[in-house]
Amino acid sequence: MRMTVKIFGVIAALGLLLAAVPAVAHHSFAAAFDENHPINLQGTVTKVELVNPHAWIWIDVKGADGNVTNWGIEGGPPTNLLRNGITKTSLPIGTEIKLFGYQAKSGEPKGVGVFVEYLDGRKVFMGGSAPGADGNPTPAKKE
Amino acid sequence: MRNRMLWITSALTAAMVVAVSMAVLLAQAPSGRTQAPSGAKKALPQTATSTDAAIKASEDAFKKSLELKNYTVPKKPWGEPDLSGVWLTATYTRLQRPQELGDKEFYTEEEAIAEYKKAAESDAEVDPRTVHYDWKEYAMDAWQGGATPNLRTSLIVDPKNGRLPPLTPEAQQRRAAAAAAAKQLDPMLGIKTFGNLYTRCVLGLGALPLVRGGMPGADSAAAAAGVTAEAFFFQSPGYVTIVMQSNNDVRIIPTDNTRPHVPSQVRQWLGDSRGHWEGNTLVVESTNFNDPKPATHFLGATDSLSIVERFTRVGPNTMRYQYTVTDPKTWTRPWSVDTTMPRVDPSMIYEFACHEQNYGLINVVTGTQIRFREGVRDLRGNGAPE
Amino acid sequence: MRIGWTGLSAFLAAMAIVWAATITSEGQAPAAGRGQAAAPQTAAPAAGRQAAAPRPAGAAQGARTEDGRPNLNGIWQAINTANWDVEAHQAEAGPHNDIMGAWGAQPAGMGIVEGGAIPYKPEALKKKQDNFKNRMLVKITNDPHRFDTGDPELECFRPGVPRANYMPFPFQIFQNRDQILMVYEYKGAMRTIFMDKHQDAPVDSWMGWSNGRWEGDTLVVDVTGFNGHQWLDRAGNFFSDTAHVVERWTPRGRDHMMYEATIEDPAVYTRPWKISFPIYRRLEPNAQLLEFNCVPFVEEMLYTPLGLYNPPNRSSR
Repeated sequence: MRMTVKIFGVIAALGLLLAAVPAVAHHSFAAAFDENHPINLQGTVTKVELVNPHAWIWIDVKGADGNVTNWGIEGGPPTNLLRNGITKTSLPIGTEIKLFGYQAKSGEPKGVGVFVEYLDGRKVFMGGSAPGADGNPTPAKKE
Repeated sequence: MRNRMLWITSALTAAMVVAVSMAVLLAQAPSGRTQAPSGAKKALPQTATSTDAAIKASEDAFKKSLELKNYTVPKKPWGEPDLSGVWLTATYTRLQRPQELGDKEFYTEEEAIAEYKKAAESDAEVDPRTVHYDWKEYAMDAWQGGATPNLRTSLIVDPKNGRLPPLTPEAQQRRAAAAAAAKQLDPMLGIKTFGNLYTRCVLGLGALPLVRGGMPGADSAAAAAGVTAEAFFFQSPGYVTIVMQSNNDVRIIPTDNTRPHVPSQVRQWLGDSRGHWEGNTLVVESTNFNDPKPATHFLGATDSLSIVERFTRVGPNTMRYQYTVTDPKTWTRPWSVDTTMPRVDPSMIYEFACHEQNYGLINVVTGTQIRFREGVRDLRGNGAPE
Repeated sequence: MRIGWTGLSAFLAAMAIVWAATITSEGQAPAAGRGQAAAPQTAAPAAGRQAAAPRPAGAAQGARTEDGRPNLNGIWQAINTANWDVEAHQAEAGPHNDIMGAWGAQPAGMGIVEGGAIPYKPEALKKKQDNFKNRMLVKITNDPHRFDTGDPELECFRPGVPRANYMPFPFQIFQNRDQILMVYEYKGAMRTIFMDKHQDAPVDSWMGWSNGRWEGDTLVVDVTGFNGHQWLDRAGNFFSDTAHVVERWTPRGRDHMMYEATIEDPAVYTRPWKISFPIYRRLEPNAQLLEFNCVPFVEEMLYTPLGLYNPPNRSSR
């Protein structure tokens, strides 16, 4: 059952039909998410689970039909963020964020967030803004 | 392995803001006590430094450590050398020396720094096609955590060629059988065949031995991404207790040298450890490893594994870590590693309730089952099962 | 379209293996060639210092640490049935008694709640009763609803505080001046108690965030930052993420401690309430925490209903 998601922002023309998609060593992470279903989402934070092994951010995303779907977005372990001063209140409930990532292979409203940003492009978890980080995913470079 | 490719918007990555400059903390010499966290909430570090600055700081710390002579390790009130604190287990140094380096055991200082820079910059790149959160956003790249350059070309120092000794015939058979079984893998068997011990949250990454470096054939940047690669050493009378950040695996090591190992029928995931002091070095011997099938211990080792580790503090922020691995059912002779671990601040460890929060396992196994039904036979991309 | 699975690490290789190795038994645990030293090793103290010899673990500990505090180092365990039910309870047949018989039966206990009953708000008492009804209802999901039902202990989740202290397993205290580490044999669950430079919990957790101080010879520990998924026992008693637990650990002689905890949570209880019970030192000369890694013991229970352990239409393998 594949969810239809209204895409906000620039749709990534990523050309993802690659023969060699990088896979991840530390656990078979990539199996969970679908490299053929990138997602660009914008929504309101409803819950932040700043836990190991993966932080999860839950956001309400409004579809084109006006219905709201709650998406769960997986991030990294928060440990080093905590060492750097991030706390459970750093991303308050109700904040608008946008993200680029990949949807769960199962088709559920879940995904992994590759880049998670405030609307102005600042990274949620890294604080400062990166030159060129306008929040839009960059087109794939064909090798 | 993460294959990162240089990106046309490398400005995006090379100049990506580094929220962490752990390397700066490396230059500080802590007192002998552990540092409890400060009471004030820190503002997000707005260090608009590039990777270059963090790398430079690591290199400076590295050079400083090379100049350190006649270091006197502080002692605990009861007389033991102070090993306490959090130590980084991530490194860009490969476990095995690359073949092309032959017998070259050491880099020059310049070469070591160049290797490190290459690895760190490769680590810092992010390819949006990688189906993974950006490690850097979570300060997980090893250069963000304080990994340092290393003069050695490999973690392994014995055998002298810096590579693992040959496998026993028995071990070769096991591997061949496993490879064949993997091709026959029934994709519907589920958790115990798909989930490695970390994905299942049975064990974290690298509690024993602590530093594993790159795997044969892996690029060093990939090897360094120890997820939460920190080991917290808590030292109290009669014990050194290691709490790993990864999965909060705990190793309780009695150091008073008064007792034998547990009985042979008692087998454990992390074995059974006994420690004693030899001068300023804590020597820890671990035996009684369980049979973790369908998984294996480190690099395919069995329940006949035994490991001897040696911990020596050689600088204010540097712990020398040596270990010797013996498994007569796997390798034809023991092999040894000699490396260092930099200090991490602050001296505390966070909860890692992996199994409790393991939404990921469900997603991983579900996704893998779907892929298998779509015709991918196994994770190495061979054809569909007959 | 072929999906390329490039760049797999040895981890993935090990993960995909169906292990058919035979196990050969180890025989005697190897002594690793070392002599049986009788005396504890000690590093030579720095010249000019009156360094104390390291204390051997166990019952031979000195009563005080170098900084004059009660010495809580060692292996401890509570002896009561509070993990079944912190309130007074009679013996009962257990769940699945058609299989478990006397193994699974609940023993009786006088309870550890001072005053007898937990002062629940009416809606919270209803939730406790629902918890009890659903204490073996395991519905694991890939979202926070997995915590809606089922005793966390049953699922090998962390027990939280104070429950960890009255689990039927030993725990070990490691004591330094600025941090105290407690490791519980159940799951190897651990907590650090910050004695110095307290801070508010930066993040919620199962075992809470512990700030400690000494009041005379009593270790007082202030615990907050619970994630609210904890239960207090198998009977469904619970609190929420606004819970605040204050523990008091008071030595009574070398081998006993009196433990008290005041629990308050305005979202759940009408007032704070207290538990108390003694804790006993494990005196065996070879006392040691062993592994109780229960994750593999619960995987079949958790994942079979999702078809992820043994899926419904399993092949002949």
